[in-house]
This record gives sequence, C-alpha cells and structure tokens, in this order.
Amino acid sequence: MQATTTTATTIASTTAVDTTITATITPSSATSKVLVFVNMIVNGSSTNGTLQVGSNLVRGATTILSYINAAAGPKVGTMQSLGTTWTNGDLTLPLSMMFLDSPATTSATTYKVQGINTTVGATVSSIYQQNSLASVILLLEIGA
Amino acid sequence: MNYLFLAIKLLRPDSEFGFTEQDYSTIIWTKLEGNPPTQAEVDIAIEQVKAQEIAAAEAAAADKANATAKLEALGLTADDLKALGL
Repeated sequence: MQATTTTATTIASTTAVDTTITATITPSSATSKVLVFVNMIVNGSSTNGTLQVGSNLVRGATTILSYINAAAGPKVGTMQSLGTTWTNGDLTLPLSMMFLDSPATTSATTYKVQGINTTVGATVSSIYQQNSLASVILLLEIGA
Repeated sequence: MNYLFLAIKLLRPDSEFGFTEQDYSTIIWTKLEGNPPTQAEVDIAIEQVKAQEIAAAEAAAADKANATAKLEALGLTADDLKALGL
C-alpha cells in the first residue's frame, strides 16, 4: 500500500498534530509484520528563535517511532546530525522514517505521521509538503 | 507567504495549532485562550498581514533609494561598495 500527499500541513504547536501523511493496510495474518517507510518533505521556518521539528510515526493511536529528544525537545535527528541550525532560518529537507511493525491484527490498520515543534512564536512554524512537494508513505506486509 | 499562520498569530499570539493548505475550516487548536477567531476575523487579519508586507517592501525600497542617493552624493556607486566587500 502506498499513499502520496501534496497537501501542505502547517504546524505551530508543541503538541503533536496530524499531517496528511497516512495510509491503511489490512494484514492477511495476525503474525505478519508491516514494513513502514515514510519519505516526507519538511520545512522549518523561524525568524525569532531556534526551531526544532519532530515527527511521530503512529499506528492507530499508538506512537511506534518518535523522532523527539525528550531532554532537549523535539527534533528531527537527520537535521541535527547534519549540524543544521534553524535559528532564524528557513530550510526544507526530505526526511525519512522506517519501522518494522508487528500490528498483530487482521483488521484495517492505519499509520500516520504527526508533526511537533519545540518552540512557538509569531514567525515559528513547520510545514509538511510545502509548495505541494509530495510526501510518500509505503506499507509493505511481510509474512511471518 | 503563509498568511493564515501569520493572521492567527496576529489574533491569538499564544495559541498553538495546525491546519492544512490555507483552509480555515481545517484548523486544529492544541492551545487556545478564549474563543477561536472567526473566519471573518481571520480574513480581516490576513488583509492586515498583506498590507504590512507591502508596507515593509515599500519601506525597504525607500531605504535602498535613500542609501543609493547618499552614495551618489559622495561620488560612490553600489559597485564601489561591492569592490570594497560591503
């Protein structure tokens, strides 16, 4: 199952907010695993402070992968490892999340990405799928 | 320009939220003090943001023209400043 979205989602929240990156799969067996791969386009913009952007990969209502640093606040690890600073800047990058999940169900199962920011302010925001750049979520069932 | 974001911040500076595209009806409030602004209030705020944007651009152009005039009065040009690394 693959889903693509170009719908821009603006996040200005220190609480996770759903993006439009979502897809549903119905496993044929409760012992199957689901490989989840997300490639998303994320923009961070700030002119009055440091912005760190985090993302959650969520199955149903359960967060299964979180790119959030609890000690220092949410952040996208890829950007941090690149040493990129978003202090008073504007940056758009493709980012990926991958997870091998065991949903243990044969019911329709929905996966989605949530966005979250460390800081808020008059000019601090993150945008998924900015300028209609497509993000993709791929769900692949793997038999036990 | 993300006008809906800027308009909301103008009306509710301490609010936290998310939305899709520039669609007022999709706004999800995660932190809000008081009532959410109405569509009409947001539309007015968007026009204010756009007016501020135009005024800022005009002010920047005026500042540049003023600076250029001062340079010319000194017998300098913008290329002269570039040559000096400024």
